[in-house]
Amino acid sequence: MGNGFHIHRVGPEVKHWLLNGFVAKNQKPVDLRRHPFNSLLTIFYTSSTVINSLRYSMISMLSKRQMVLGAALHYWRINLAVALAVSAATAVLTGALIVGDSMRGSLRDLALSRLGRIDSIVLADRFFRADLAAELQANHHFATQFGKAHPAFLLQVTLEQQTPGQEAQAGRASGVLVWGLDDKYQEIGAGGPASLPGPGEIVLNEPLARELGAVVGDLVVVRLPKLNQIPSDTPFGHKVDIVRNLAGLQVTEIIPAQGIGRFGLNPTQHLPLNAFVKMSTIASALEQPGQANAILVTSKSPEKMATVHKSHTSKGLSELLRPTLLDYGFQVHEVRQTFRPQPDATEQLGVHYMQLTSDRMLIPPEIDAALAPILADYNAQRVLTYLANTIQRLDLEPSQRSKKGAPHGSVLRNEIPYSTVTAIDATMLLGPLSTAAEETIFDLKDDEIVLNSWTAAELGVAIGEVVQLQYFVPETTHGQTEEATATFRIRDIVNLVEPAKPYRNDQPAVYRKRPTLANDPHLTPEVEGFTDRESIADWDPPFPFDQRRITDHDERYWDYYRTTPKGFVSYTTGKKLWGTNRFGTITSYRMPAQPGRSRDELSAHILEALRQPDLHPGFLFLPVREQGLQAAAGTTSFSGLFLGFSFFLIAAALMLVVLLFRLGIGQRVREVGLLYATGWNLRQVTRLLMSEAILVAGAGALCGVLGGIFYAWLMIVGLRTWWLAAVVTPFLQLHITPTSLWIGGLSSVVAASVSIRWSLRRLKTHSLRGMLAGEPEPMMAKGGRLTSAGAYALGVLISLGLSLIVLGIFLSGEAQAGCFFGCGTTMLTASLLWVSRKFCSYTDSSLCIRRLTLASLAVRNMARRPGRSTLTIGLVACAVFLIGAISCFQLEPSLEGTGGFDLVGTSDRPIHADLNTQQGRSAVGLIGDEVEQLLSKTTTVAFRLNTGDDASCLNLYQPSRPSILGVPPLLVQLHTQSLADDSQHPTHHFRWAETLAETEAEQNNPWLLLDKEFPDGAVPVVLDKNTAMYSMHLFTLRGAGTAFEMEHEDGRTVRYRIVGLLSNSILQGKLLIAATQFKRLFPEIGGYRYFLTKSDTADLAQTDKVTSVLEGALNDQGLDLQPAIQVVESLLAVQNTYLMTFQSLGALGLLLGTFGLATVQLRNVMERQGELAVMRSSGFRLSRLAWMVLLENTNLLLLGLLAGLLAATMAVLPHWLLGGASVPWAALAKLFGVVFLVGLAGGLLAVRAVVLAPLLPALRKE
Amino acid sequence: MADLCVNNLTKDFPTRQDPLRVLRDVSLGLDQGDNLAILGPSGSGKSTLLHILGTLDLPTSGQVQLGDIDPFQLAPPQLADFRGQRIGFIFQEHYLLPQLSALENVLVPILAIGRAEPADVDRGRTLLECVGLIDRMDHHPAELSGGERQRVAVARALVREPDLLLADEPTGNLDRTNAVSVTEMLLNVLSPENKMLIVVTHSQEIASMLNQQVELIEGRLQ
Repeated sequence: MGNGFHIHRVGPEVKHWLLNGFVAKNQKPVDLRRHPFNSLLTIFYTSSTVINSLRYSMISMLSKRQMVLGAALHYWRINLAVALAVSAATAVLTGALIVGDSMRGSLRDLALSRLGRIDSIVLADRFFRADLAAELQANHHFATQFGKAHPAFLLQVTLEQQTPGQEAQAGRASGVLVWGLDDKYQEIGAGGPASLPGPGEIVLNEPLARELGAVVGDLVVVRLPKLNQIPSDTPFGHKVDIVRNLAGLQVTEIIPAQGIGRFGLNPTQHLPLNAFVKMSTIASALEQPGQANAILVTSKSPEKMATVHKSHTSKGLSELLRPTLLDYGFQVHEVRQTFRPQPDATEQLGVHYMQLTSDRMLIPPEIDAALAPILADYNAQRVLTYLANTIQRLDLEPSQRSKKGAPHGSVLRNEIPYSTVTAIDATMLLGPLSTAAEETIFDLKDDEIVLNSWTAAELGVAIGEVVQLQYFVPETTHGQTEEATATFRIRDIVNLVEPAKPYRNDQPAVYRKRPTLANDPHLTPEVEGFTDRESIADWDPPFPFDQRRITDHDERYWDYYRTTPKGFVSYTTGKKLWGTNRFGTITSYRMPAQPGRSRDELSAHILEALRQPDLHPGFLFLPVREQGLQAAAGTTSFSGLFLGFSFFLIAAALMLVVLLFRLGIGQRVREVGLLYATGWNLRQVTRLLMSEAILVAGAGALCGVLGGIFYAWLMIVGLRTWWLAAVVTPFLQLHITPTSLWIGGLSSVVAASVSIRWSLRRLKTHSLRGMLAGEPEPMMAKGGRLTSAGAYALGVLISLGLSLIVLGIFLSGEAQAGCFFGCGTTMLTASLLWVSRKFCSYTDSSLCIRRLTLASLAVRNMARRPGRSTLTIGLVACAVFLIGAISCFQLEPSLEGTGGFDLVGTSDRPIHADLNTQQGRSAVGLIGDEVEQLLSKTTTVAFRLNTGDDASCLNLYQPSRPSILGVPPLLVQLHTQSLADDSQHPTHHFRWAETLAETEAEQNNPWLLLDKEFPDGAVPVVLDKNTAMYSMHLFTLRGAGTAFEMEHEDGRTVRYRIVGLLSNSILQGKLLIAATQFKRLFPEIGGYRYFLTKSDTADLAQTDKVTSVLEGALNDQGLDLQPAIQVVESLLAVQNTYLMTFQSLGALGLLLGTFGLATVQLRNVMERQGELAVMRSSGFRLSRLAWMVLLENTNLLLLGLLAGLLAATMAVLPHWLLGGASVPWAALAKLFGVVFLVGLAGGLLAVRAVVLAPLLPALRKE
Repeated sequence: MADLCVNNLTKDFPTRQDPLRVLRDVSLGLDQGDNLAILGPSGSGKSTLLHILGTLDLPTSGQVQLGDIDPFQLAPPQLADFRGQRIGFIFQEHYLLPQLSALENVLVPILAIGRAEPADVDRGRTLLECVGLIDRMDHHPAELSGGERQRVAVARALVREPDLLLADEPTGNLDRTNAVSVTEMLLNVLSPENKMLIVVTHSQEIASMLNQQVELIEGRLQ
């Protein structure tokens, strides 16, 4: 026969089939024009005419291919339904993929747009020369990789509207990124100010203007941070005076949050608050002329802007950047102490050495390590000079003291206040410790001290006697200094040479005699407000200072010796006493001046060591473009998320495909029988039908791809409007990739074809006689109870489902999600298998005849076509599963989420004061009875904060370095207290999802786990479970115990281990480590910037007052407090909104289910027209028949509801047991009520068909 | 007055031109225990007459009275009840419910008024015994022959003990032997029940088995 056969070679039945398709010969054409749905049917009628003319035109060139096409066209109604079902599956699949594409694409677009041309940023925690940018750009290697380098100020500030007389109502915004731009700022990209703001001018972006309530022409004040400061957690660091106000800036422009106007250092889709001023405006306000703190490096070409560099940018830049020692905050001095025996004599050199100092007083350990080889080469001497609040003689009463060596006429003192003491190991060349015989003292023991002659004389002490030093503990907590003491035996007394003329202004003292090596004020580092003052009376030190203790002797010492140390201990001892801080143990290095080795040479060597690409102290190289594009991959695979939830919808659509295709085959079963009768075999018939099915599925898939685009567009519109809470800002745009379209289309065709092929297997069991008699499907064999294979399969499915429930309890994260979907699928399949076999059992006539009622007849009618009914139930069940299961994950904000705290806040600048003590409150100006009364009932837990990416679900970008909080002991104590209060307030502490707790104490208070020690040195960390699972993707099975590594901005990689996971907490998006670990890891970060506050009373008005009082007092620090419950709500809103989007899939599933249900019922009624007519002739009232059909429909609906509900319950069970889900009974009842009513409405179509069916034509088989 | 009284029955079907008159002044009367065969060529109005007698269709004019009731004066629900109680039908197609056994099929008309009570089940069994299928009562229609299915249909028509049994070519799908056998069985079953029977048939042989025969030609009884 070859490829086809001629029409004359087949019988008249086949000719009829070819001309009319599988239509009974005696079928009368319906006068569609008389139908009530005239317009719709006119379209059908016209289409039918067109299709028929197409079909007839093909007859002359008949082949199997034309047979397939002819049949596809003839049965266009049922094929259209099949194609629509395929297109529904395709649309859902393709739509899910496109939503994922759109999310990634939009994040990427946003990342690229907000970066402008910026490729990388060099950001320093200090000010450096703005010229460094030009020097960087001048490097010829720079031009090969980058575009331009612009100096800038990038500072996080607080802005406030300046409205004289209305300060209380003035708008205020913290967390603002202020840009100080140069006149070439437009080269960094579009979206910035139209013109560079002039002096006294500022440009705001729209979100900032909105936050401030500012318009063009308004005045604002910017609170700028001071950089280059001594660490604030040392007694010598400033705690309060940390900002400079830049007032009277006039708003000249408000730019939209687009392009540079939307720039932020961390990738996020949130709208940032940005302000732009001229660079010199900031420089002059901070008294840093010619300085900057950032270099903006642009991309070389537009092509490179959209590509991810393989981490070359930061490395390349760090190799190219050539800061000077000053830029790093270091200085090499050449210290020269000279003397002139006579005023007119030649100046002679007394003390001469090189000194390396830091503008932050202490030199960090990593710099010490990096410089070690050079310093060894230069025979460097480490110096640690510290402040002794008191040097006190211990052993003798003043009257017994020796007056030897004391200045003439002096009165012996019990103690000397505010003295510097240097820890140093003397060397031959540099001293400074030597005996009276000028022998160097090398072997100072731990308990020995060397005093200078002035001090020994003042105290009246001699060698061998004992003195006590009182000093501040080197690290402060909440800015509170604490004193400690150490006792020393006087090993020796070094001689001081008194200058002939004291220090005056900037003029050094004048010596007539050679000063000793101990005559060296340079041993003390410079401290602002202390070492730079003319008189002790002028001191304004950052530590507690009692002016009353200062005597004339002390002032005289200051005049003649300034900061010359009064005592010396060994470096080891000093390190032990004053080096127990995280900032460093060295205040300077001293290197002997050597002939031929100049200061410049030393500086060059030091610079070489500091400029190592992985060191560059104080400089951060931020490959913002690379990070932004990598982060644009997103935290969550939206394709996966949507596909996961769409799975059931796709399954429902495929069930509908099978259902409709089987109905189509049932409709033409006589013709299939005829083909068999005329010599076609099963394989040929199957192939013919499959070809038609693939053709139809292909057409459906094509429409589905277009539908998928529409569906995705609709979802995007939804996410931009109704479901905005899920993505926070309306940034999403539709992005379509051909890959997604191909995957969606082809997958659907394959899935539909496989499903149809599966449905055709029943042709094997259908008898030829039955087919020719028009039996749509083979009747089930009598007594079709569960076969052993069926029972076995059911057993396996149920066991598998139960195992997944158990596994789900012990797993977490994506594995738990896998269990959810797996359990849902198996339970749904098991339910359907059971129902299907149950239907089969209804054909067993051994049933008791007394059960024969109208209701049981309805059930038997359902069981008549078990496959059809089971698929219908499956359709409804899929929708119910989706709607029901998803509802259980809707979360309500609770006090557990807030941990019982009322307020949560952050500050732009660190706050040191302890707000829980009156002293601390006074330190920040929180004074007055009313304030005290209010705040004494309030507890504030202050956390140290290392700012990083927002890893909460509010940020869609993939976080690489989340913010880290140092958990203070107070939080641990509060947890313990809250446990004690549980009887009254059972939810006043954070809820834990998982912990590594072993002991009872740890189980009661898992915060204790933060102090746990691990053999691999991993830092114990607590984080929110959602952050760990969905943002950071840290684990797939069980979270607690999981170790992970994180590279910090400075290039260090730190290993962390999860010891506890919080459940839906306010602390989402942050890593919580013990405060001690925080200080170890981030020694440069001082103070507290994250706060949780709770009041004794749950009075909202009280909370508002606390907010107002604290924000007002800590305005300079930019404190911003929010009600904790609001924050939890906003976090939960993301999850709840996503669930709403997935529920829309459930609604679509319900639509498919209703369509399937209505189709099946209509088909059933049409097939049984004769039977129903006989029943009417037997006296059945129409209402009773309608009731019977409605019962059938209701039963199918209820079974679908039950199957879906069972599957949903089982799938949700692990989450419910673990507290991750709750059953919203009322909402569920409403939802299922709606499902039931919608399904019933579908069934009413069948009832309508029964009522309207003409009796006599049915009896005549017309 | 006869138990079934038909007076001047006419039936018109609307067409695009003049109405098509299928029955013309048909009048007849039957008493309890009578049986009547209606013969006639195709299109003569036999089935139409039967459907009107069975209240499945309305006459254009004329009267039908069964006992003292004119069924066409009844509202549709009461008409359905009347039909169920007083009239039984046997069609050429048996229209048995394939998912039910023979006995259950017999009991289906009972469901029009409620559930099958033990007495109904007993009657169903008795009827199946009468039609010779007591040993096949648990069989499904697919497991029965054409003649057996028609016997089940006969039993079904009688289960609610109607006064009038109407059979529209009940043996039309059967061979001669089976047709005769089914008709004999029908008459045997009805004989003790004292019911009225009207059979529409093309077969003279079948018609001759009944005690009255009329012929309908062009809508008129001859």
